[in-house]
Amino acid sequence: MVKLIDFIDSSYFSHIMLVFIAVLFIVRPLGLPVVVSEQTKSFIDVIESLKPGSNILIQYDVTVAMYPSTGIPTEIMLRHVMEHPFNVMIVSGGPEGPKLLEQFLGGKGNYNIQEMKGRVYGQDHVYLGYIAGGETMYVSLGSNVHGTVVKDYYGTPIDDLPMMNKINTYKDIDLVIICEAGSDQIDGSVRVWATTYGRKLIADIGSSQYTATLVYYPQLVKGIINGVKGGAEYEYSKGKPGPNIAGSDPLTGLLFLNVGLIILGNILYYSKKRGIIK
Amino acid sequence: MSIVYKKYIPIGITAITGVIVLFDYYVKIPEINSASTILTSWGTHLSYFAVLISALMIVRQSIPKIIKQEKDWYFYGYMLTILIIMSATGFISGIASSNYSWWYNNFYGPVSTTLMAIMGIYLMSASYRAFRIRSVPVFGAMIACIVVLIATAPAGPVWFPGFGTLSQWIQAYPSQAGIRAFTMAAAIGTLASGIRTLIGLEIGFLGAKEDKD
Repeated sequence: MVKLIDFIDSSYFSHIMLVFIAVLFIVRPLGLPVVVSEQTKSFIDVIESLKPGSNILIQYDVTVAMYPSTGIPTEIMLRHVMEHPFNVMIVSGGPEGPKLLEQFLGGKGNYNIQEMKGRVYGQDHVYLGYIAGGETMYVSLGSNVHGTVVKDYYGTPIDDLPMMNKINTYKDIDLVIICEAGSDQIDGSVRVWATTYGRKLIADIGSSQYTATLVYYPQLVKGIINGVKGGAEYEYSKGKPGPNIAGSDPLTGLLFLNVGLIILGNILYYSKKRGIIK
Repeated sequence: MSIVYKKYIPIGITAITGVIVLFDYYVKIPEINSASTILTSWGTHLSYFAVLISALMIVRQSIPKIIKQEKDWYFYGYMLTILIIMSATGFISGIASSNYSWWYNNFYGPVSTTLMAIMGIYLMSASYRAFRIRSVPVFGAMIACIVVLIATAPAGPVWFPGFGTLSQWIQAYPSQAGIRAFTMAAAIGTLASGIRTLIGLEIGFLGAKEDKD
């Protein structure tokens, strides 16, 4: 008994349980239910309310480390946006963005852009790559796109891309979508796009950023995708089960494990304190 | 004369730049608006030089450590090697090339993801120990934590219907009140710091404290 309690009290127990639950739910998914939140509904509604030919700026600041939490939900959003006749300009404020987005644009992501017929690079979507400067860069991009960036990610002068002739300043942008992983860039993005330039803004963020983003919802940020949970809701809403719904089972299992460990920790702590167990 | 070059001219440039960019927000004078646009574009281009200087600083600080074989010198050696390889591959093949992607996907990607995954394991272990109810505030934090955790689980609001609403309330009121207080405090602090910079009282960015001139 004492050995069992010591084992539970050690770090090994939580580590073993974590691996066990994660593997169990990945190998044998249960198809647990998904409830679509108000923020996810608003996010989808904002995109679907845009007129054909609208210009969208996607701020793709996903990092490798946070890719499972933000990148995979972002893919369903990108796919959804690309399915509509919008002009999509994508830019990364972080150096890790290009290599991750390259996989999606190159057709190696979970949602293959190559399958979407009629999408032509340069005519309806453009990737500007990584631009240094953080918040200042976004201010500059909003005031003068062609003065801030000369070539796209692939080295083509942006003046040679037909879509870029339609976008010069923030006034030409109908919607800004922030894809933010884990840093606190959400404040800066809201300051630039919503407060200064008065653009419509929605955010696809990692769960760690959710509470920080909720500060601006619904006045400045019109919709939120909350990590894998939001991604699963997105897939459920669009009727396209994918990696986010597959990931929501392990996520549910691990969050409940976390709750169980907190309760178990307190039971053992008070049992030891009151001398019920040694 | 040195103080003029090192202090007054940089402060003057900062003040003029700051005033132009600040005025751009409030006034509609074409000359000021276009000057502000040009200055912010310059700011973006200068950021690339900052990245370059950072890389050069890493090289400058790492080489003496490697030569003297100071503590953990091999980590500096590894960092420098990767820096050189990635920079050379980027310059020669281009950052959109398959060579650059190979290095990125096979070195940086796995290491970065592994580190984050390890942090998840430690967080699970930490939550087991950190939320032991030793006081009333910790009890409150634990209850809030459990409610938000259950509501965050995709299936949580289905199994525990009231927890979704309760979690929304916790995040919309007590949590937001705290975050907004910090945000406002930071905003006021930034404003004060900005004014000090514009009028030349804040000169830390010039390295002036170390400068005896």
